[in-house]
Amino acid sequence: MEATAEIKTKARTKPDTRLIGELAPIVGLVLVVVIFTLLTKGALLSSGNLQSLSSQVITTALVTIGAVFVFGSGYFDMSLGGCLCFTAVIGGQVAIATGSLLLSFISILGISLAFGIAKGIFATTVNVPFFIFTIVLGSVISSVVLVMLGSESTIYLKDAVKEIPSLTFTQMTAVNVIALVVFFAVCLVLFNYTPLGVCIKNLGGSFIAARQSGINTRKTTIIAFIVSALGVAVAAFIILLRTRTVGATTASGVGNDVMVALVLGGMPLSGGPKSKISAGLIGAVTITVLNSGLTIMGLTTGQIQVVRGIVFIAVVFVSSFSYRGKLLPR
Amino acid sequence: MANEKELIFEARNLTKHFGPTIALNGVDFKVYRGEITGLIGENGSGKSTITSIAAGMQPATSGEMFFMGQPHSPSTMLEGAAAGIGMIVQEQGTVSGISVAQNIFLGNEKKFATGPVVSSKKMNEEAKKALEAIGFVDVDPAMPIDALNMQDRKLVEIAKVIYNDPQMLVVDETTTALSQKGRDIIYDIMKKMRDDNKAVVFISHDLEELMETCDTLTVLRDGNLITTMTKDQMNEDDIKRHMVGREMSGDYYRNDFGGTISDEVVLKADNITTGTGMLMNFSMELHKGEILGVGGLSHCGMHELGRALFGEEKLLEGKVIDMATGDSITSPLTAKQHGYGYVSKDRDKEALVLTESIKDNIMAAGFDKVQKGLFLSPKASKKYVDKQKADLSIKCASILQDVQYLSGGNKQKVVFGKWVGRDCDILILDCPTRGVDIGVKAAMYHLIDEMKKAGKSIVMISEELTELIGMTDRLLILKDGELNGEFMRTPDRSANDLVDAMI
Amino acid sequence: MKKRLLSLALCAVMSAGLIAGCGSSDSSESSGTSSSGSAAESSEEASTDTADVSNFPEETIKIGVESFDTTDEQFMALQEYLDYLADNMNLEMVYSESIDSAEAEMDFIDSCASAGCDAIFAYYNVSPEAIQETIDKGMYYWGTEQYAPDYEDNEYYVGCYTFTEDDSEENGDYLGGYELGYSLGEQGVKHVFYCNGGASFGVQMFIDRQSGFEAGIEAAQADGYEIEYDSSADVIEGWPGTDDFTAAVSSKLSGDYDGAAVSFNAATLFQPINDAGKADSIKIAAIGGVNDTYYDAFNNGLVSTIVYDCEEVVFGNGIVAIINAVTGHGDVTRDGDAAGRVLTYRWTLTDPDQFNAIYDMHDAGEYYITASDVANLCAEYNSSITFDEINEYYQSFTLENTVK
Repeated sequence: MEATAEIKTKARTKPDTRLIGELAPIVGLVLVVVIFTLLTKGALLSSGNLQSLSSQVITTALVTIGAVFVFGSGYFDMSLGGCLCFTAVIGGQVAIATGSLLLSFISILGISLAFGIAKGIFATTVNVPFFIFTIVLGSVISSVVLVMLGSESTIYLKDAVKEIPSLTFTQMTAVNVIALVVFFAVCLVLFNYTPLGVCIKNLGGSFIAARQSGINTRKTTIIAFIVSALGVAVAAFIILLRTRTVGATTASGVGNDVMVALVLGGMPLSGGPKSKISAGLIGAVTITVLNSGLTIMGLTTGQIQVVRGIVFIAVVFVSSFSYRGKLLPR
Repeated sequence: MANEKELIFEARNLTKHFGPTIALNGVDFKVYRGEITGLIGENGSGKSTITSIAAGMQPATSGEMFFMGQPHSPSTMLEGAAAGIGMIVQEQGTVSGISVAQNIFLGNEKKFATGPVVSSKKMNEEAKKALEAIGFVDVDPAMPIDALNMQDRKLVEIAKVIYNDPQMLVVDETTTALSQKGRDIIYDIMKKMRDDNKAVVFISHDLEELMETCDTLTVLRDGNLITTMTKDQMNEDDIKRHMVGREMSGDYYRNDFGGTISDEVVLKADNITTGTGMLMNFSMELHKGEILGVGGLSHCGMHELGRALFGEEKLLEGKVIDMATGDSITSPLTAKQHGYGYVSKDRDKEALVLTESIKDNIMAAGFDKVQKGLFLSPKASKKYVDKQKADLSIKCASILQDVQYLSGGNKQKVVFGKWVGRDCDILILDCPTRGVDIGVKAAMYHLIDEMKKAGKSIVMISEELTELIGMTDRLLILKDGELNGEFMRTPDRSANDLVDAMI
Repeated sequence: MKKRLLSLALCAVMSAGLIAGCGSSDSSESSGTSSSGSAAESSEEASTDTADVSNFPEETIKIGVESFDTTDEQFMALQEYLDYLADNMNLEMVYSESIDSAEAEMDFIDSCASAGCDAIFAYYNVSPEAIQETIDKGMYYWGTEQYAPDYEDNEYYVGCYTFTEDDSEENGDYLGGYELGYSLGEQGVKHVFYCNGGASFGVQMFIDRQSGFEAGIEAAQADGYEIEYDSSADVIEGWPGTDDFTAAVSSKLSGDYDGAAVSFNAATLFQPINDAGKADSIKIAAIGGVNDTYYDAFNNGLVSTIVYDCEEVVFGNGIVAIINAVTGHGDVTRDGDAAGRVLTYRWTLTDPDQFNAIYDMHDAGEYYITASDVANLCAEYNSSITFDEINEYYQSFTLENTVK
């Protein structure tokens, strides 16, 4: 029996392909960085561009890291872009009406958490495929934003009742870095050093198995949505600080970027055991470097899309080694 | 006698490697006409590997095969079937959304076609014949396959295989999924094949079944052919010894009788009616330190009872009460909080997340035991899981390994680890030894006995009468959702009485 | 393992295909530009006064071009002109993808700064912060007139496209709308309906176009033309692609209208009008371009008026301003202390011959204002140039003067 077991274990772990799969996102990121550094003759890693990159990566990174919790639990949330836009617009309106960034942040946080909790409650009580609900929610939010904006399509912080100081580039970079580091650290701790991560991975892996393990599925789900909402709130506030301009199209690309980033970060969109916080950060950095690098190279839109497609396919393919590497049946 | 036998299939020095693993190690295996050849071995011993190579499901790494005197190396299952090898496998092999007849003639519709039009009338008539040929008469071939239950679908598959008139039939662990009726049909087919001077290879976990049906029995272990026995040589202890490779101790089950059971009731089902209607106004009690068996035919409600006791089944009426606290058990969460554990019958879907590591699977139920305040230390988690791994001797390279790559027995050990690690007071085990090797089975019986001795209360739901008889202090037999007999542990508790209560 | 290798090979083949596709589109593009380049060269040979300016300016100037929709027809026409300049002068263009939000705009400007761009050419602009960001990153900015008053004193802000000399309500969009209305009146249209695009949803450019259109109708009426228009009954709101829009169009087409004014691409109306059998009885006036979309419709009379921004005239002066600023002749971009606004004229095309003349010229890769003309407006190349001369030069490109 001992001998049998030994043979079995050797056969079934397949460490080579698994390792490739797990390293794929990091290798992908390094490759993207190296290739673009070479192609742009170092412009990509110039200190000026690194600061710009921190600005560019921040929104996607915050939302994606938070989304790891929701997608990890097996909920496919397509309303992230909509929620981000809505909260940013509310924050903008509050800032313009009061001239206070603090009040603006509080309202952003409040609204975002309200959305998160509402989504969590919906996900745990109503028996409708969740992604359909989020598609509907996303479009409802878009319409509401249009109504809130009324006759204006865009609103500007410069129109505030009281002047809102604008941040210098360096201050903005500092805010970005601090926000990202803190949020990433909090998420990392929540996911890896509290039971939340285990609960989420099991919930995403199999709802029934999680319930039968005595995991509080409702609590887990709602907490996951709250963490995601925190990321959205910070991202919304940072968009407001950075662009001082919000409108119906704010964050329109974020919903897609988040999903692409998760995949590039090496996490299946169906969530479950392969969920990891690093996927949010690595994926967001990869897609941002990719976008920025392609723009710097001066490619046309069509070429950019083709290159992006190839990178996407390659990473998905290599990542799939880690979760599709099954042996043939004996 | 022996030299009259006509060889139909022969494998010479057949070897199969999966990466670094040797699944088959130079096996010489012969099948003769007019015989039912049994194949037995623990999971991973290589028995399915031989037949799947013969049927063309996968190629051999090296070695030769001969079928009906010709060199045989099918590269697809279709080639295997064309050569005359039919195979019935464990997994579901019918296609949803089409009729029974269409399933039988899937890929062969041309037979009934005039031009582009396929005559479903002709097809149905032919399908009827195919079904009748295996004695499966009470089904209309025009019915959609989805209207059939699992067992009947399996029979449709069998009809399909038999219709193609194979010279050699492989039955690979098919019977485990079937009831007695289905099994009888398969036994009849196998016997008929033998009587027609064709050959049958029968793979099963069930020793009794093999000994009864087979003319010869080949034992495999770790990819090696250990021995081949004729009918008169077969004996349970020898077979087990060959399979495991060492002497099996006599006390496979418990060997104590007449121990007293505590009067203390720890868990009570009070007049419960389940949402599925499988149980109506059912009541029962579980005593401290007893192993309570629950048995019956499939659909008797015993699985629902297990689920209900763990709060997993929706109750329309009645309550499941934890007697120590007086609380109602309404969900798996409350059950866990009251120190209950549950091993589901559907291990791969309900008890485990297959794509997840051993560690995370075990932690799913055990994190609160390791948690300090809000925090869960990875180090402490590892220690906790390592302990389960050691205690249950889970065979794995690392606890970070996905459970999907473990053998059935080791998977079940992981499930046990989820609850044993928590030191549960009450364990509800639904078919805990299903699909598990003899060696692991024995270890589990031992573990269950140990837990009983430690004062734990155990509900053991099983479809195997022998293990219920061997293990339980008290045995409830359910029939149609009602209690139809209660048997205390005595040396003369017999299967016949139990069967009478079931039917 | 075989399976995996096979799928790996498949993946490689797919990627190779994609790259090949990318490469081939690349090569076709470059062959396209090279042919246009050779056409330009041949025209240069024909007209003796054009000089080879492909080495001017001395150092390559890199310009980031911002667009809201890279498939927009006017933008694509502009892109062709900018590519033509880049091919024939020492310029390099970095184009944005379709920008739809303030963050995307900021990201693009940051990337341009990293790419070493000297300036941003903003065909489109979302937020004033983007202008600030451009300036903060030390790049020059030329773009939309919307935020000109806030930034025109900054030396990095070098101008904007404009159709009016001051900040009056009668901006470019207003004037475009005005031309739609007046022109239809002039052509004897009796009853017109107006597709107002985003005016009812608060999009400023469409609001301006609508008020311009209504003023144009009034002016036509005042001049004695019998054109009829009711500002509530004769308006279709929104864009094609919605059921409301389709229903509104078909109800209008069953009425007695003989004119349609469209504040966006009118091509979506061609089919419904044809289906209603009114191709001969309705005249369309649209804000549009000289391109294949309108070629047939304009030549067969379905479209009678196109209000057209000739790319080299309306936007080309931005390149002049940028080159001057980057080469250290910022003074040539200033009108007094503020960034100079080069005034240009929109062309209202009503004559197919004019339309075809412009179409043929651009189709051959030639422009009314050539690369050497642009160089001539740069102080580095022609030291005597002044802002007023540049302004006058571009103003001289009226439809009448340009297209004979």
